[in-house]
Amino acid sequence: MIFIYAALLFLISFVIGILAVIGGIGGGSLFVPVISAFFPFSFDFVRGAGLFVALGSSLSAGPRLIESGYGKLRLALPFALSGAVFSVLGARAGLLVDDRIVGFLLGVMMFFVSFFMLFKKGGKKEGEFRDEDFSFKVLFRPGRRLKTLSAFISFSFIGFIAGMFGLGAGWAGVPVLNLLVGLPLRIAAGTSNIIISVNVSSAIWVYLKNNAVFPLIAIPSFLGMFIGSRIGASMLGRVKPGFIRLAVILFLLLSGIRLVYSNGMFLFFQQGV
Amino acid sequence: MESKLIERKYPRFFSAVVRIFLFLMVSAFIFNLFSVVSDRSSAEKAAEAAISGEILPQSISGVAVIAAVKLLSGSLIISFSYLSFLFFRGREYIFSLITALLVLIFLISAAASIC
Repeated sequence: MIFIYAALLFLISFVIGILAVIGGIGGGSLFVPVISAFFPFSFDFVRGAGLFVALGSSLSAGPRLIESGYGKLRLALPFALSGAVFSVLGARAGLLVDDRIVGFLLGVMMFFVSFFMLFKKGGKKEGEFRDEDFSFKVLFRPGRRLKTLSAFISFSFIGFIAGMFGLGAGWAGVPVLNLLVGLPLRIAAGTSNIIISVNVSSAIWVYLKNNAVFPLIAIPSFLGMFIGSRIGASMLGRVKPGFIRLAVILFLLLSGIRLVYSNGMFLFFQQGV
Repeated sequence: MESKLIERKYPRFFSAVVRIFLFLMVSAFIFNLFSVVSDRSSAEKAAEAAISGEILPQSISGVAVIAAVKLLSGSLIISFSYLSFLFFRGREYIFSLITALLVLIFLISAAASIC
C-alpha cells in the first residue's frame, strides 16, 4: 500500500508542480492543503513534507536567481532573519496545537488565499528602486521607514504561518516585497524565494526533532514537485495562465472547504468526517 | 568591486553544496525504498504509520534519508557561514552580522533537534 501512496504522491505533486508555477503560487502552498484535504496521511507528516518540498525547490532555484540578478541577497537577509525566528516559533506552535485546530485554520486561510489570488492586481512591474539601488540603507531613509517596518512585521507573520502550516508562503512574500519594500515584481519573486529557503530551513529542524518528516511521503512529493515545476517553468510562455490560475484557485477553495468541513465538524460537533 | 565578487562567488559555492546534498538525499531514499520493498511487514507498518502518525523504527523510516535531510538543511549553515565571511572581507559588517545571526539561529535549532 505504501508504494501506491508513494506513486500517487509523486504523480499528484508532479501535477501540482506544473500548476503551481503557471498559476503563480508556491508549490508548498498548494501541496499542503490538497494533500491534507484529500489523503488520509497524518497532518504532521504532510506539513513536514510541505516544508521539505518548499525547501528543496527554493534551495535549487536560489543560486540561479542570485546570479541572474532576480534574487537580491542583501535585501533578503534582514527579512529572512525576522522570518526565520518566527518560523521556528510557528513550527513549535503548529506541533503543540491539536491537528484538527491547525487543519481548520489552514482551511480558513485557504479561503483567504484563493480570494486574494482571485482579486489581486498585477503588482508594480517597475517598483520604486532603479538600477543598483537595492541596499539596506535605502530602506531606512526618511519617508521609507514606516513601510520597511511594516515589511519586517509582515515577514515575521509570514514566517510564523510558514512554520505553522508547513508552507513556503511565497504568495504572501511577493506582494510585501513589491508593495511595501518597493521592489519590481520579478525581483520581488526572486528575493522572496531566497527568504523562503531561509525560513523553511529553520522551521524544518523543529519538524525533524518531532519525527514529523516521513521520507516515504516527503521524497516522492519532492521529486514530483521538482520535475513538475521544471516542466511548468518551460511551459510558461506557451500556456495561457488565466485558465490554470482559475484551476489553482478552485483547488484551493475545494481543499479549504474540505478542511474546514471535516475539522470543523469534529471540533464543533464532535463528529468525525 | 567586492559586491560583485560576493554575487559571483557565493551562488557557485551555494549551488555546489546544495547539489551534493540533494544527490546524497535521493540516493539515501532509493536505498531506503529498496530495503522496505524487500520486507513485506515493513511496508505494511510504513503504510499504517503514514496515516496514524506513529513513530517507526529507524530501519523503516529511513534514517539515512533523515540524515541527508539534516545535511541539506545544514548546507545552508555552511553556505551562510561562507557568505558571512565574504561580507566581512568586503567590509560590509552589518550584513556579516545579520548572516552570523542567521547561522546562530540554525545552529540553535539544529542543536535542539539533535539533543
